[in-house]
Amino acid sequence: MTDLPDLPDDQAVEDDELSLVDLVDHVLNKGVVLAGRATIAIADIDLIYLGLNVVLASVEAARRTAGLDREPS
Amino acid sequence: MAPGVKGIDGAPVAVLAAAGLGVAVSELAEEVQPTRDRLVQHHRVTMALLRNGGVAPFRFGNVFPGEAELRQELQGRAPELQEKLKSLAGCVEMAVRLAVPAGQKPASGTDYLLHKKRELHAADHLRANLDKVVRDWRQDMKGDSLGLACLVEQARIAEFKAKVAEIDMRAEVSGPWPPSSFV
Repeated sequence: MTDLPDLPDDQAVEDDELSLVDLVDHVLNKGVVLAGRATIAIADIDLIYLGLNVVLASVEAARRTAGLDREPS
Repeated sequence: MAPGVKGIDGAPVAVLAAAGLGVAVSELAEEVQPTRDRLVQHHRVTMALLRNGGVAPFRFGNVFPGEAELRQELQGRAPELQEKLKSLAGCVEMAVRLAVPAGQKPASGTDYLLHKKRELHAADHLRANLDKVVRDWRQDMKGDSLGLACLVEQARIAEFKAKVAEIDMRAEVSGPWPPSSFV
């Protein structure tokens, strides 16, 4: 059991303050790939990097338009 | 897993013991495409694991048909992953981005090369001076901007931030992040 000082309270950073570019970089662009097939093919990451912001924004816009956006209760 | 930490789409997160490792998993009805919300939640779970004593972050989207397939894959990768966890223990990732001084967008090809040279020099300077405070580093390009991913001991985060500010006032620091640049 390690005795580490507490990390700064993560919840202090609101979800919508996390920049999409940072999220994509840390969570979608890097990290262990264990499954033979991850959601985004690794070789395509650089190619789609610029396009992904648009894709993510489009998915959310589409969900809002279709009234599928679930607000947290 | 800390109570209240939900997974993607609000699914509960369980920690499986497999091959001497703990793996945080959720069951999902279907393969999920990345959305902003899901990336955030993946990040939140990884941060909770980081707080719990350390984590080798997984990329978003690792999906297995079932527990058996996951365990089989883990068995093969266990020694490597255990080494990784050991090397990352007690550390976080801090990101440093070199800021382009306002109003200095390169006007020509020569300008651009000069700018790049200055940027690389700034990165070299940072790295040389941060040597004592970081465990490891990676240089990266995000779009057109140069940055450093630094592996920093959790206890030295404040020291790291102060050191960066001392070396280069224009450098922007973000973090702590889970150490996904180092797996």
